[in-house]
Amino acid sequence: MYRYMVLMREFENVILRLYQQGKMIGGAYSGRGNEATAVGSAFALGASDAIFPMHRDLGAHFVKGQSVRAMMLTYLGRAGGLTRGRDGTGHYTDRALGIYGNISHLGAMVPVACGVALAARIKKEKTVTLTYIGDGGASIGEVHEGLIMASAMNLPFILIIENNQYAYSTPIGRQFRVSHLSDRAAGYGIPGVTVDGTDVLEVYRVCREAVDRGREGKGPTLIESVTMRMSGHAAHDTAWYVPKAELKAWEKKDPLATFERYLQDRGVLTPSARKTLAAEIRAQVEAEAEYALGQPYAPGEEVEQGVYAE
Amino acid sequence: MSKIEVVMPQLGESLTEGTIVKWHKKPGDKIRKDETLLEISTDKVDSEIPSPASGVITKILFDEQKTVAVRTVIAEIETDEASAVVSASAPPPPDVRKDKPSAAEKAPQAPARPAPAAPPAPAPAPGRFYSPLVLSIAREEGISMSELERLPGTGEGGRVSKKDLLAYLDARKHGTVPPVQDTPSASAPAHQASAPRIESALKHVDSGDLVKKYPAPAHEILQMSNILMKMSEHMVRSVQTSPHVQAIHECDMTAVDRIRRKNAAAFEKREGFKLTFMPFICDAVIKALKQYPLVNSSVEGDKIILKRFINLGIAVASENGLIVPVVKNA
Amino acid sequence: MARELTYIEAISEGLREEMRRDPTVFLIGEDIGEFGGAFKVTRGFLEEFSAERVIDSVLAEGAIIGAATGAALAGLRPVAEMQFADFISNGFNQIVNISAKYHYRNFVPVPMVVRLPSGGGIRGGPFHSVNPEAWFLHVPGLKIVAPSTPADAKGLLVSAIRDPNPVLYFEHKFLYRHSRGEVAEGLYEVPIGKADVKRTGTDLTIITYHAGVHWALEAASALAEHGIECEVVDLRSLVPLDRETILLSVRKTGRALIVHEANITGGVGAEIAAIIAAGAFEHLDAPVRRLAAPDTPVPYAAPLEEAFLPNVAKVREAAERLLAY
Repeated sequence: MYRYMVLMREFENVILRLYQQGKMIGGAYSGRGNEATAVGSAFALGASDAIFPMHRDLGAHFVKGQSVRAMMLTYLGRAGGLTRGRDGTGHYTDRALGIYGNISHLGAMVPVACGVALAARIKKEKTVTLTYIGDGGASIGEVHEGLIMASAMNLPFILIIENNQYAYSTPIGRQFRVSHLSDRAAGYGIPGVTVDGTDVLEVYRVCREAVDRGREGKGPTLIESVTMRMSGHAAHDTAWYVPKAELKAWEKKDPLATFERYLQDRGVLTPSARKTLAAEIRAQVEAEAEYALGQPYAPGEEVEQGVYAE
Repeated sequence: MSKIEVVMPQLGESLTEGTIVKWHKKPGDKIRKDETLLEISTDKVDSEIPSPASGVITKILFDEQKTVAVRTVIAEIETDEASAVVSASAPPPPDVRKDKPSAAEKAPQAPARPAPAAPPAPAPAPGRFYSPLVLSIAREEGISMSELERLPGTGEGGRVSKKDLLAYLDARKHGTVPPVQDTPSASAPAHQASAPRIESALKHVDSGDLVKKYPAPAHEILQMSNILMKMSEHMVRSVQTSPHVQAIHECDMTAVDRIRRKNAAAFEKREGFKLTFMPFICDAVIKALKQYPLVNSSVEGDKIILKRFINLGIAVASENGLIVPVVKNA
Repeated sequence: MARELTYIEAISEGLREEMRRDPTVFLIGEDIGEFGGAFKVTRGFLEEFSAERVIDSVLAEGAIIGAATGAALAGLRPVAEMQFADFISNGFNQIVNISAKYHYRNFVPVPMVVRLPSGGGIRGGPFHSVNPEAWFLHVPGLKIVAPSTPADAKGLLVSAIRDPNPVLYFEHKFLYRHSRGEVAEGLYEVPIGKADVKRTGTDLTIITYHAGVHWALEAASALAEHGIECEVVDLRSLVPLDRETILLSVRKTGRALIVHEANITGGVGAEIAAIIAAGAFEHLDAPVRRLAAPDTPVPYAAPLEEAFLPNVAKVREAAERLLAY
């Protein structure tokens, strides 16, 4: 688990640097502060379960088995990437790994995830579908429609609302009136639970419960994972609107640092092992970045292909 | 100030000589570049010859009705008007010609253009709109703008519609409409509405032995143009050398027409001219001749000469008469 | 085997027989299970197939379309039903941003069908009569079909279900019970992207679909009595459009009249007119004209809706004016 959290952070560091160097264009999104949610939740899934990761859930891709190389190529829009450059920010589908590609209208994905859950039940597969949405994205009508359908049909479906305090520049105080987003679950008649999103083991535990529930045919769960968005909305956003004090307070709860302390306390991770692991992962990511930068883009002539499936 | 020589042009590869039919200028006359200087006649075609330069005609070296070899100098032009020495033009030396046209006679209006491969593209008449389809059909069928302009239209505002044009073509084919453009083998270049008749396009002869034999007013003698003479010579010779047999078969061209229409646009785009029935007919003829080579043979004494090659002559009606280009080894 | 079915019976039959053949096909929509559907297309389906395959959904078009998309991504073949085509707007985002773009971005097929009862003439008013196909003409990745006869309705539905792409299947409400015709037994496909010349002629081409086909055929019969032979091209598919058949016909007749029930501006007819202008310019003996509903919402009261909708007389008049050009 720790390894994946480190990988997520190192990968995003490299991506940010490439973005600042102009080698990665578009938008560079960071999940700093979300590592526990991303990794802990994905860990609760089985190999055949389906997941719809968002842009701050990079760690989930790796947990599900995606390779660093493939992610790097995809982020850099290369022909060898998982979308051949047709979409960015991790919007790819790899059905063998159970990963489905979101679109930028994140709330719209919730009903689609319901459909995947429905298909699993029709096919009599005992799999669950996990999808994520943000504290802002949860305001979208399609989220409500999806939850209405999932609850009415008792689908094996889990929605994690990543409450990281901000939707771009909009703080949660301007987004909703409830104290806990998990309160909304009552409106759908399904279990809702709020969890400390910086504690990877807690996240894992809560998700595991939800996964088991879904697998046993007991229906959907709404999970609110509370954390902080430690960077701006994207690399181009300095997040000047976030009070410095707030950030400082959350830094103390950094998911990686928290877990490191836990592992060290239990003698699982020594400082030197930590350093070695970090160096190893950093080197791996750097090497993959180097490799990906040398790879070609898909040729322009390809632009009209693939509109339809044959 | 410089002297420009005007030569007898070679208007076709195989032509070796031309006959001066009419000078439009005499020595001392001013002339502009491209203005008609003279009319000539050859085996194949009659033509107006435009002046190569602006200036003053200083010399006319051959009289009308004289036949000279191509590239012979026939006139001279001084290109700087100011310095032209204009002698009071001595009339051209009297020549053998017996049939000087009377002053009152209307000069033949014959435009005598070089053999047209397709009808010329004149500007549309003001007022009436012709749809793309009507213009396409007109082009295909060899109908000139002037002809089109004279057609009655039943479309909006008197527009000539496809229906109107097809009806006209049909009537023309069945001879129920006097042809504005002559059908092949007919006669002299006569395209003006005002002078559609052959007779008025030919020169009137009123002296010589023939006139004694065929006196006026019971008779009228006309001078055949060069091209008329050649045409009649060839046609008579062909009757004398080969027996003429005629057979008529009706051919349903629906399938051909379908293919033609289907490929018309692509063909034209590729080749730059329209796909007519002619290529299909030619192809069929060639295939048939290959199957029945006896049809492609000549007689020499008691021998039949079978031709192992096919030279396909395609008779083309032009305003000036019949022209037959030959596709060798078709 | 020649037997006659109504348009709606043909749709039911096609749906039922394809569901029997392919167990991955399932239905999702409002009131389609026990109730048999608002128009009774799925009457009896719940009894024959399980509730897992005839799903009565919550009233949320976004969820219906989204769930159908997700299920298609996961390997099933959902046929979603919008109760009226008008309500597709609630699921618009799902269709245009997710279903349509998925294969292009992620190379995963989305083999779903959305059945859309469209069309007026039933006094349904502005929200139960719309013909919204043009909204989707502009979205790459979708296929759109609009059958006019029972035989085409069945064959196109079968093709739509078997197509690996999202297909919007517009079924005309008025034609449900007003159109009757021969329908072959058993399963057969009418190819998507192929128009059908329902009547051959040489004087004028009428290009149309849905109810327009019936108006055009009736107008053509009347005109034939005066020696005018119209060719009626039934588009059947709106995306992809059968350019070849359209152009072949217009090149033959030289005159084109496009007829559709949907509003005129930006309708399917506008696209076809552009295609004809580009591909048959030199064959045109008259301008390309369109006959369609005016640019208003569909009115409710009878005289207003009559004035709004095209009909046989209007088609005939438009044809005559075009022939007189």
